[in-house]
Amino acid sequence: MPVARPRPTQDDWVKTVLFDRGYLSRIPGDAIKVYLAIIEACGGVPDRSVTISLRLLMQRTELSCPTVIEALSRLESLGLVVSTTRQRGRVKTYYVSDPPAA
Amino acid sequence: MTSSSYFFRVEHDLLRSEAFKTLGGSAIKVYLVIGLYSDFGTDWAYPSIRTIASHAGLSRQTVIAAVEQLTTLGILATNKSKGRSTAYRIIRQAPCRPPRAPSRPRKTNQTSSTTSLFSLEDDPQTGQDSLDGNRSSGPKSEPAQAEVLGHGGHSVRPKQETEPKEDTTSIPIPGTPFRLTAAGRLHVAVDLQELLTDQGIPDQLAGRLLAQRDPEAVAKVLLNALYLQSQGKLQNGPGYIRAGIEDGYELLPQVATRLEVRRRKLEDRLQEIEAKEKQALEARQHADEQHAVTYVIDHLDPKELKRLLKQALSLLPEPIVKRNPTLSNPFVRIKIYELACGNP
Repeated sequence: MPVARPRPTQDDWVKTVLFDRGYLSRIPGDAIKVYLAIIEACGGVPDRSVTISLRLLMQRTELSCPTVIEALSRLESLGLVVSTTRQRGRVKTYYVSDPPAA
Repeated sequence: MTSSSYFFRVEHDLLRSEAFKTLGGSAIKVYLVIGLYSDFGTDWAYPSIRTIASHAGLSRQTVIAAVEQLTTLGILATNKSKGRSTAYRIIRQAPCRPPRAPSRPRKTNQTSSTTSLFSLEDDPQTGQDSLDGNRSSGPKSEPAQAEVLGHGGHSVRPKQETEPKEDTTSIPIPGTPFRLTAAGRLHVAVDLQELLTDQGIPDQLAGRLLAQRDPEAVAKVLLNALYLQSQGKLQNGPGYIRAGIEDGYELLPQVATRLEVRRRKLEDRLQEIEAKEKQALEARQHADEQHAVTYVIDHLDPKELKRLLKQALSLLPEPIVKRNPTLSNPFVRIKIYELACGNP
């Protein structure tokens, strides 16, 4: 019987980042909502870029514009997402990174 | 501790629910932590306030407020008992799915929701009957709360048939799209290719694998994979499924045992149904006969009835006493006469 080589799956990854690496406790306030919305947009897979508008994030999270912007900057400072392109209008591309252990 | 797939289901449910918009960040964190601690089998979680607080990076007071908020919104059920830790249970709601853009690629994480439902022991009453009876798997089941919440989108669903046709010859395997017959065969009534694709196998490969094996063999491998995933023991699902189909894996002993238990119950139920049907048939035949006799008697001419009655009486056997072997025996008869009259 061939032995399947184990590899981490996406759901492992989300759990690992939030709990095992302790990022859940470090994500401040409503930023968790923004982070989950971005993760959903990129299919829960790390190392993937997603282009998402501020309006969509506001719509998905029901947060105000300044709150979303603040949350994004907090997530960027934690290294959970990386802004990869210049802002064009209000659509920006974010790269969901695989952050190191806290 | 929960399996990872279970956790992801929790997160997925949250993201697609309306509550995600209304909840604050703290409540979402608390929800996620409780989801992490939920037991896969029972859905109940027993983390302390301190544990939740440390995981979520919140103060105890904030956690308590968040739990209260979640409870008020009907997303979380709590059970406090004296001297024991508080039990929490996330109440599932039908997800309010946003309209999906056609160009967006299929998310492979959809498999998680399918796999996490797989439980051969717990019967979440998905089928026509629940063989294991009620699912009261927590300290206290709270169907009322779940009832109040209801399932979203009922009003927009197509009208259900008033009398759904039941398939009594097979039984659904909870959490899977397969059915089990009394003969122990697996019925596959779904598109296996789509199922394999959902499990993360590319379309072309899925088609090739399906061409290699019959649907039942594929279903066996899928059942194994779903079981292993539900136990959190399968890391590389697509790899296992591919190897399983190519090498023709049989059912795992744990899966086979559970299926056998279900099969026996189905067999017993079918026997009961058969016996009841037989009884009902006999009763119906008897009633029909009685009805026919009554009908004939009612519609006969009185003269004809009298004639038939006479004819029937003439056909009756002679009095039983004459045929009594005891009295027809001459020796016994003589003895009886002697006793009765004194003369032979």
